[in-house]
Amino acid sequence: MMHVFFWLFLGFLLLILLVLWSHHSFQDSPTAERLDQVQDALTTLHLAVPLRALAERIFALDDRTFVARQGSQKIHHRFLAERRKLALTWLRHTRAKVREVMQLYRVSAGRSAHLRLGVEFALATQYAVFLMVHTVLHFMIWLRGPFATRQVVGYACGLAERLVLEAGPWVVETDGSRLEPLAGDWAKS
Amino acid sequence: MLTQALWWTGNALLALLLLRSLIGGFFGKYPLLFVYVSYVLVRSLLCFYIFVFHPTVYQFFYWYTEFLTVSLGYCVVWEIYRQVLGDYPGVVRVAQAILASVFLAVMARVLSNRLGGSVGPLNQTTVALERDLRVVQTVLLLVIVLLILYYAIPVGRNVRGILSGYGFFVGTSLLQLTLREHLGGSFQPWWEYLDPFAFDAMLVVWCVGLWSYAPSPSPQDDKAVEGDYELLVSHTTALLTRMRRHLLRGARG
Repeated sequence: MMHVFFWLFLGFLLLILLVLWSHHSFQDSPTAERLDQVQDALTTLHLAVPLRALAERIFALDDRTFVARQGSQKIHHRFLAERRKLALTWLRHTRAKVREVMQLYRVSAGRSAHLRLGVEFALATQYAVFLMVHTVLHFMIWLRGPFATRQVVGYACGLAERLVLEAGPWVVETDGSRLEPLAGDWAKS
Repeated sequence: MLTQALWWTGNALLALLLLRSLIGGFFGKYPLLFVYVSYVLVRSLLCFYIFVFHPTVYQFFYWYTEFLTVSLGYCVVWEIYRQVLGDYPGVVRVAQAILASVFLAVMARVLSNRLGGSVGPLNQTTVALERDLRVVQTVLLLVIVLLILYYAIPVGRNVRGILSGYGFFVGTSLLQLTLREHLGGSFQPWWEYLDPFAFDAMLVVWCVGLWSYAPSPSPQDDKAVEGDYELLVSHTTALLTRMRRHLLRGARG
């Protein structure tokens, strides 16, 4: 019985993809000049990436502490709502930039004669991981707000760092002392 | 009555398609497609002749030529791949790697079903075999559509029409054959209308898409758009990693 559903799913999937494709139009081949611009953009990372300083300011606790001390619940709630909107806008902007990078990459790479499935798959996986992180962050910020999210994100990142430091020598046959500089770099960043 | 109308409409559309290709001079531009169209038209008219003058052998003739029709449908898929990926050797390599693994898996399953299952009546066995062949076609078409979407490969009106029409027909055919095999005789009245209707819909899309010659745009020929693939990958990977860290560090504050 399962195979019946699988075949039906396959048939519907093809029809849905065809409808999706009909909404896209790739009639214009990218010009050589535009592809050069792609190369430049990726080489020098000159895309307008949202500043890290902006993100740190959005999620910083100073403003929340200041507003909370003013004593007005109404203003505090309004502040939290506006800050949540700002955080979500920053997230969407970041995702849009990454999406632009991937679109440019796909258009460029498709014209290359040296494509390799393994490399393409690895890159697609990286992009999928980014989208997953973005989606989780988006959901957390929407649900709990930016200030509650930073605690969770901070805990998760710290846990990941500790896991790599502690499990590293066991998973990879590496001298543990070689991981110390890495830990130092992570602490500084 | 309706089935007769659908059948004759299909024949008329097949003839119109061949006529337009000959008048427009692009019969040789899509040879595999028009071989398929020619075969289907000739087979359809032969079926009519045998049905009228030799009805006792009609069923035998129909089911065996139906198998050949489905097999020749791979010519259409081949034509689509040839037209879409002709100027993209890199994407061809990716497609070959994907299709090799998918094809082996699907054929292994098809063979195990054929060898392990009992042989039923001719029409039921052919329905299951046709369904299996449609599954492979569906997978092939899914891969090419995904590659077009992923790499933003520009496709002209002709190929867009061929792919849209045949993709619609193969997709609906797979659904119908699956339901027919599962539900048996109760689905037969529906199939007698749905299958020719889907076929005619495909031909209408083909007629619109192939009314005149409109090839797909090819990549720039005046300048080698090769670039350094390794450099492109490394920079894109670095940027993705940076953006992911940027998200997490920003959220941590």
